[in-house]
Amino acid sequence: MSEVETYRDRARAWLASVEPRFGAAARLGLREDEDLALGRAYLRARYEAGFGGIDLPVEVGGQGLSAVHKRAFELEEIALGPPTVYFGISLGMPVPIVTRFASDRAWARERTIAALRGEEIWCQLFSEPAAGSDLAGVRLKAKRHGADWRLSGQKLWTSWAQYSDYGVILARSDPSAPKNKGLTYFWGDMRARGVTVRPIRLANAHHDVCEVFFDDVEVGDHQRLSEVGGGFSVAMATLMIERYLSRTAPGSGRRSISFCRLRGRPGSPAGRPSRTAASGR
Amino acid sequence: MVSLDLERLELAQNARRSLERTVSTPDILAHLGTPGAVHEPFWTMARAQGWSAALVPEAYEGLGLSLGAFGGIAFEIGRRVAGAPFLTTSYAVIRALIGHGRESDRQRWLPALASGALIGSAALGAGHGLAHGSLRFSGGRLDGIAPGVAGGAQADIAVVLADGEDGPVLAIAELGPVRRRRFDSIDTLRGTADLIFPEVAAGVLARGREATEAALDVLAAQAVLCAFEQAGGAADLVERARDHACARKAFGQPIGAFQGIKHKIATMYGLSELARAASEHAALREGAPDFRQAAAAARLQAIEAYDTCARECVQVHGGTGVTWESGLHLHLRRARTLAIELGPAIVWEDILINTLLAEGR
Repeated sequence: MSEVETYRDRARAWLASVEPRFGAAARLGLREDEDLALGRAYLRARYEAGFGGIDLPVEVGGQGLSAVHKRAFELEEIALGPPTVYFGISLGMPVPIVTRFASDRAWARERTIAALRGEEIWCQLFSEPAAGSDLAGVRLKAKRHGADWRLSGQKLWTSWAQYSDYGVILARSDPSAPKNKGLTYFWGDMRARGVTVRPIRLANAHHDVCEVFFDDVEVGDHQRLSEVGGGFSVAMATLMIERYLSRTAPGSGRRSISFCRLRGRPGSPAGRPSRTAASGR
Repeated sequence: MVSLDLERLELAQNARRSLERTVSTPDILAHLGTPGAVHEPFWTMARAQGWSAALVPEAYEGLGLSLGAFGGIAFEIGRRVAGAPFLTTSYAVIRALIGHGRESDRQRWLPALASGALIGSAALGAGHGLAHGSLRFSGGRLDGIAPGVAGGAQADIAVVLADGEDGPVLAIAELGPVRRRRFDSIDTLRGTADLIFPEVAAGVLARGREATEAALDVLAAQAVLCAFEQAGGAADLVERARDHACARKAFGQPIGAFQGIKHKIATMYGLSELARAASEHAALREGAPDFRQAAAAARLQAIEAYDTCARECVQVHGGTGVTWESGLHLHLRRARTLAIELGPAIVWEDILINTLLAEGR
């Protein structure tokens, strides 16, 4: 038996042991706040069992294993159907980026562990009303304020911003430079003064994404994760992770089925799959 | 011919203006999520405009419009995703009475259906290949359950296909004693409900092979009306996709300049025009031997057009397309619902193949 297969067996055994508490059946009928709280408890248990941050370096609090190990664990986890959705963006892109690009290593380790334990959530503040596919078109302004920065503008479609403690932000620091040269990448505190989060109601009556407004928000120069004007390459590094992420967890049919089952929560108007719609084509 | 076309055009344009005044996206959104909800302003206007009377013969206080003429109005209703499914569901009862009812029954019910005082619906087992097997007819009474009946939450009268002692029976019954089990669905404005018949008195319209043939004729006529509605929905989606593709810019140009978007919209346009043409053709074949065949073709074309346009329009809109506020999901919900309400595509493919095979023999 290969080392990965042994690892997968261990994962399966641990997941089976927590199924009564965190499995899909345990989530049925929960309100979103209850589901989120259960998710935080699950992440903490997962971290304590040694399955948090599987492919992140040991130095920042991860397990230091390969992407293949992570994939093996996720394939087993999908079948369990625990409430991980609120942490998908957080642990998917912003946290790995912080572990790679933050210069204060002790701080990066602290944040990473808190995120892996479900205590803190990060969001990714990229898209704007006029910058979707055309990401380099972002307009949110980063202006120098002494040694530091002030951020003003709007982000859009930011997943789970309403639950986020921190975010990674792509901002325009030099409007005169060619569009992908004038960007700088920061991290920000979502509770800072001047940050307003407004959840958007989606077609299924859920609020998975938000508008986020920045009104002259103070950001220290130590919060910069790229060179000044070098934000686009860190944004590309972020999106490379996102691209590969789409090949793992959400790509599984079994997960999609448990997702459909769970989305039909009581009290969500028209959020339930129709009996008839499910049976016909 | 020319004057008739002009008259049709005027009817449709008037309908469009009335609908624009009466039905808005926020109105419909507000009704979503309440099983059995009805958008009353729409239904009140439909009655006032004589739409409930449109397909009832003049002899029974109706307007006696052709299927094509009223189809133009149904097209506008579909464009607006208007609520209250009664025009299509009542038409089943109207059609069954005209084709198979006793004169006394026609006199009794048709004028009330025309005024909209009486709401009709149909349980013809279309989703189950014309045999739901859960409804029995014996000794002049219906017993059992008719699942998922559109308009069932509000209907006063229904035509049903039931299992009799010697084969199928097409029956008509007033629904006073019937228990209605509403359920949540993706399109709550269809008033869909399970009808539970506790030995309810019913009249026979047809028996045996004649009953299934009659049920198929009623379904075919409903399918044509529904196809107009679906084609109207598809046409609205094509326009909304086009408008967005012209206004929205990315990489310094309108997104409609990109092949991925413009070819999508071209496909949508092609499908929606085919659906409209197939509906018009079927309406013109009313009363002809190939009516059922034309109706099946219109239904299949309309299902594909509305489903595809609803999906693709959301894609063209990007993030905006999946917001509650945009209301594009109203079309998605309606497209999926209409695609199965009178029987899914596979049922109509069978109907079409059967008529084609019969023709080849």
